[in-house]
Amino acid sequence: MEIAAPMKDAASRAEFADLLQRHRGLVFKVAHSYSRDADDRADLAQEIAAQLWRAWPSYDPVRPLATWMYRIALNVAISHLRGRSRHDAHHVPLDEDHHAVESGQGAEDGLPLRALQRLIAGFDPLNRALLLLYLDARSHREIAEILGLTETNVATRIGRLKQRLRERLCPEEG
Amino acid sequence: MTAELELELDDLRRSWQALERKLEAQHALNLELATETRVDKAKARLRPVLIGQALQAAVGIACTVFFARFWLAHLDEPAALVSGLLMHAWSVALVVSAVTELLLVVRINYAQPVLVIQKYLGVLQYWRTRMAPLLGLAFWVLWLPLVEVLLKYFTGADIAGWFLWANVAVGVVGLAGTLWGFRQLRRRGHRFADAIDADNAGCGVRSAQALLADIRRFEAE
Repeated sequence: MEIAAPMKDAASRAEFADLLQRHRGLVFKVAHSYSRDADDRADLAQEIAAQLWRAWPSYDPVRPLATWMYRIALNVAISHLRGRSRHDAHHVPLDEDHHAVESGQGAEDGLPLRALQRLIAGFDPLNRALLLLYLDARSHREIAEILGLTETNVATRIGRLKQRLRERLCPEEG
Repeated sequence: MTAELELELDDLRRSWQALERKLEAQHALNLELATETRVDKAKARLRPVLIGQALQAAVGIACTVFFARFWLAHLDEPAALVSGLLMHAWSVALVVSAVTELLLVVRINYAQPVLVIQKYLGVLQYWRTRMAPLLGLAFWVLWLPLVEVLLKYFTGADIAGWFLWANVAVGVVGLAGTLWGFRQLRRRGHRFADAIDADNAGCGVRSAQALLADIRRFEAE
C-alpha cells in the first residue's frame, strides 16, 4: 500500500504529461492570443500548464477533455491579461517571435499572420475567447460549455462576431 | 482595394490553422517541466491570504463574544449598551468579511465556465478593494465606542458626554472627508488611489470595475 500512492502519482503525472504533449497546440494558441511578447507568451503557457496540472486530479474523464482544457486555459489567460495594465491589454505585440512565426508563410495560408494577430488583439478578452474558439472550429455546444452561455446565445454572438470581423477586414463594406 | 480587404472569413481560419502549425513547430518549450514548482509557488502566494483571513475570522469571533457579553451586562446603561452593540456589529462584520473572502478565494476553480469564473474574480476583487476597507475606515467613529467599552470594562467609568459628541462630530466629518477625497483621487486616476487599491487587492478597484463592466457588456451584447 505504501508503494501504491507514489506509483499512482507517477502514473497520473505520466498521463498528464502525455495529455499536455498531445494538446500543447491548444495551450500555445491561447497563450499566443493573450500575450504581448515572447517572454510573456512562454510565461503564460507555463502558467496554463501549471493550472492544468493543479486541476488534473479533479478532472472527470466523462466530460470532454478539450472543454476542460479550454476553460482553464482561457480563465488563466484572461486573468493574466487583467493582471497587466489596460494599455498592455490592447497592446499589439510585434516582437521578433511574431516575425519569426510570420516568416515563410505562403499565400495558401490566408490572412497574413501579423494581421491576424492585430485582429485578435483588437477584441476585448471575452470576445477574443469567442473568436479563438470560432477560429478553432469548435461547435456551438462546446463554445457554450466553455464560456458558460446557451447554444442559442453562442449562435447569435458568432453571427455578430462574423459581422464585426467583416467590418474590420473590409471597413468600406461595413 | 487592398488584398486584405478582399479576404473572407475562411481565410481567417486558414491563417489560424497555419498559426497552429507554426506554433507547434517552433515551440520546443517543455510545458510540463516547471508545473509543480509553479503550483507550489501559487499555493505559497495564497497561503498568507488564507492565514490572514482565518486570523481575522478568529479575532472577529472572539470580539463578537466579548462585546455581546459586555452589552448584555449593561442593558440599563445607554452609553455602554450602544457602544457594546456598535462594537458587536463591527465584530460580526469582521467575521462576515473574512469568511466571505475565504470562501471566494477557496472556491475559485478555473475548470468552471469562463464567464462564471471571471465574474467571480471581479466580485472578489471588488469586495477586497471596496467593501473590506470600510471595516477600517469605520474607526473614524468606532474608536469612541471602543474606548467607552474598554473604559467601562476596566474602570467602570463612562466617557464624558461632551468628549463623546465632539469626537463623534469630528469622526463623521473625517470619515465623510476621507471617502470624498478618496473618491476624487480615484476619479482622477491618481497614483495614490491606485497604490491603496493595489495594497488592498493586488490590482485595484478600477480594474475590478472594468472586469465586471466587460462581463456585463459581453452578456448584454
